Amino acid sequence: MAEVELSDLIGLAERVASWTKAAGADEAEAYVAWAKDTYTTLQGDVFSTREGVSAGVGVRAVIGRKVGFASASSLEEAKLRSAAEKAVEIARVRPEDPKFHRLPDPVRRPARSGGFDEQIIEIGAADVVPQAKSVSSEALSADRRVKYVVVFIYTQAYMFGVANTRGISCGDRASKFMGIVECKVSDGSEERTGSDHVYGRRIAELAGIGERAARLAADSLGARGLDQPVVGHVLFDSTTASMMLSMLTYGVSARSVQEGRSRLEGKLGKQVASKELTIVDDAWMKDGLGTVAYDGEGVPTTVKPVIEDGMLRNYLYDSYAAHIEGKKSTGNGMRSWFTSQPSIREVNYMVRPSSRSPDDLLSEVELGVYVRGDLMGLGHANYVTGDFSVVATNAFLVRRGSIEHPLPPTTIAGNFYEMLKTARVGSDLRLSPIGKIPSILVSGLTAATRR
Amino acid sequence: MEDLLALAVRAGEEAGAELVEARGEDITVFSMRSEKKTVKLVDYKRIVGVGVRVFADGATGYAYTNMLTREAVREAAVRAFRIAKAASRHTKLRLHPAECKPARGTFRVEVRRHPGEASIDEKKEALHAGEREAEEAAGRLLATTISRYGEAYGWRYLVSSDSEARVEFLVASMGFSVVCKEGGEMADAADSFGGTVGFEAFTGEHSPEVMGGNAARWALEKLRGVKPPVGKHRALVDNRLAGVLAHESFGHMSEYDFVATGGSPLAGKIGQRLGSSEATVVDEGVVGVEGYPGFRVPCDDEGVEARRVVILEEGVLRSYLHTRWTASLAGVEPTGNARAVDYTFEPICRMRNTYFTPGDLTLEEALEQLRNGVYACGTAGGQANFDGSFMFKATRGYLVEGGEVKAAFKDVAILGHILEFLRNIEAKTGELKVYSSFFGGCGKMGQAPLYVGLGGPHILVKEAMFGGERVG
Repeated sequence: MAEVELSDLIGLAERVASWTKAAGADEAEAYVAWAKDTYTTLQGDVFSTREGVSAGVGVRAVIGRKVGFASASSLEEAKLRSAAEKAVEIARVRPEDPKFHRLPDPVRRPARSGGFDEQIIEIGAADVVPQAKSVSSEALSADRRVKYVVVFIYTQAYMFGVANTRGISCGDRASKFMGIVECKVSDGSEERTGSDHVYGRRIAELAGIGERAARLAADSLGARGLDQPVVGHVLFDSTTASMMLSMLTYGVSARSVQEGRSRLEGKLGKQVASKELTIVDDAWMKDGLGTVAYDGEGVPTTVKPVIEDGMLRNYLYDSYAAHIEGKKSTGNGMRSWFTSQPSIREVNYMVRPSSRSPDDLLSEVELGVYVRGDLMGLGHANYVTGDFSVVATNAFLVRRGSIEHPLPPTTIAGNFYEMLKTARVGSDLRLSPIGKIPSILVSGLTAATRR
Repeated sequence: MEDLLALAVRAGEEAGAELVEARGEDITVFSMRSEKKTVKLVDYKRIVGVGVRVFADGATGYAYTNMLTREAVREAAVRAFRIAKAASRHTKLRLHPAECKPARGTFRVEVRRHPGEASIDEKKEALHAGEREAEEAAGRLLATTISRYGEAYGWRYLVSSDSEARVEFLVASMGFSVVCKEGGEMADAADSFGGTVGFEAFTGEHSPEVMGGNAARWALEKLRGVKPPVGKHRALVDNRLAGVLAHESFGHMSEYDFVATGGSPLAGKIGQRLGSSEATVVDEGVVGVEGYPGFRVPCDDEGVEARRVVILEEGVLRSYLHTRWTASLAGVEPTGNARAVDYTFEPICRMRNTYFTPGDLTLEEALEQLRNGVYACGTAGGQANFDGSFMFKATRGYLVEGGEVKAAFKDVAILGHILEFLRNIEAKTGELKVYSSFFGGCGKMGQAPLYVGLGGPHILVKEAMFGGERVG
């Protein structure tokens, strides 16, 4: 199936970069990517399933301090050449960027790839269809109140080659598997939802997620609202904790810091979180979804603490931000597809776990809320100040260490950076799209529901 | 390209498919954004690929590739077939394609000057000319100007078991927004134009200078505007706002996939009166309005000729929007509403150009008939919910007293329920304007931005609910 090899992509990237230079760029970079994706969706009784292969190139052309970008979704020479020429033409109309220095030079340091599942190259969506059906059946038979189930299974095999005219020439492969289930329960008067998932780099067993989603939905029935907002503890399970921690990237991005948009500006070496919190950006996590040997600019990715015992240790850099401070890129100029330019993102966050189970954390809650399921509205948070207000789909009132009753959809509001200062971590690391995250207990947030 | 598509169709049919549709595209996408006359973003993309959709055993499968070789395209057809077979074994609902009037031939777009022929520099100069005009009009109160230009063009090729068509694809649009500031107060406004048009469309009332100037003057009006008209008022909504209501709030409810799953409030209401006799809503592929063509869709992505669908006729619900399988499910003819955002997606039920049909008043007569109320124009965000409720922030709005446009409001939001809005339609002006835009197309089931057209005349309603910015 893979009629294209990684070495082909790297070779193509080198050629496109040189064509771009020949077309008039002072220097140039080409990122050539290939992906085979399968998307299997089962909604109720209707499958909508697709799969395919696509590939293409993103070209950066540099003229002085002007940078142009163009892409083409094709590996045919004529189209690659037209993208190269367009990037040069666009560079000419761009304004000078005084902060831009140059494309990165080759960096010599060890680089490691993550695990790759060869099966994912061969698998078709047709092979995944029975798995989707069994997840749906499992959810429907778990509880008679389950009325509607949506299952989504995604597989991806990904390869990229990146080369620039300063000598960078490299690439890597990655595989990805996601199984997600959402179900709706109704007891006639009340409707609730529940969800669960499995993420990984290898095809995995999905048995159990349908039942867990159904149980979460069913456990949320019989909700009673809060008489008044609760200001107290919030225990995020590993899933919702990972959604919350995705806010960190904005603050530790060197770009945000340089542009004065980060609350963590000037905080290197200072206490920004509770002593319990250690977060490493771990590019060598074998099974991490973000794991990749080189970033989107061809710089080897790295392992470095972001927060260590509550102290801010590092910002994340791509080559653009690194040049501004005369530093080296940390290999965080990530790209998810050839149509996008590099942007600063974590590879994988690894939160150092404690020895306390989620139940141990729960037992510490005098008055508060246990948050599971999904968080909505995180995209509307103020990433500059850290203020957020999200709606938790599955929240439970906790009093004196035990769950009292489910709550209706619950608004949780507060400040992300203040919240970090109160964080207590659990032992239950779970793989999520941003890394490995356990349950996290925080305080000082406000929880409110309709009465 | 067509040879490859024909090969895919044969491969799917030989495998045993009931129907095979192969779709190819070669589309160029270009956009540019400038702030304070500095080019901030330029994006250029060339999108080339092939997708194959197969009906087999009462299920569908879809596979795509942009490796344009015979082997890759044949494999896509076989994989799509395998998906359909697998899905069929695991579902009870049977999906079959309805018989249709297949599209055949070449569908060209006629414009005087194709946008692809204008240089990047010329486009940049146009944006800057509009921004300069805005700066001049806003004077010392100017905070910022933002201008945008975007275009997408190329060809789509459709070959299926029963159709063969090549369809030219074009959308171009240009827009300006201006923020003005005085003391602690801020106000913004925008003007734009777009559709399946040549570069010559950005002249006259849609020239960068006029649009940039409008945006600045409207922002100034709002800056010195009066408080929002909270509560119920008689109202006149302009062509754009009418179009947004037709598409966002009403149109989506008529998409048959939503109707079939029982999610739409319009389910089971064919033949019922939902609006006043003045309320007629149409969705069609090719709009014959000089200067306001919307987004041209001569045939859909299943190769079905795009029919004119009168969804609501003088207040009575007449038709839903269909793809081939939804039509088969409903026992009607497909309407040509199956559209896919690009080659990686299968076509689903979508709108094309959705608008309220015009009446016969002039704008002066409409204002005279309004007497006292609110005149609301354009939209600057908002949302339509699936139960029919909506809230849209107007770009600008005015107090009308004694049939005359008086003060501008600081901000205006119209809210309510679409069926109530339809019942309250009292009269319409005679001009029809259908707009489309490169920016902010329609989104559904992960497929966005899909280019659509929307519009109408000015619509006079007996009563509508208004709020300020923070309402909703």
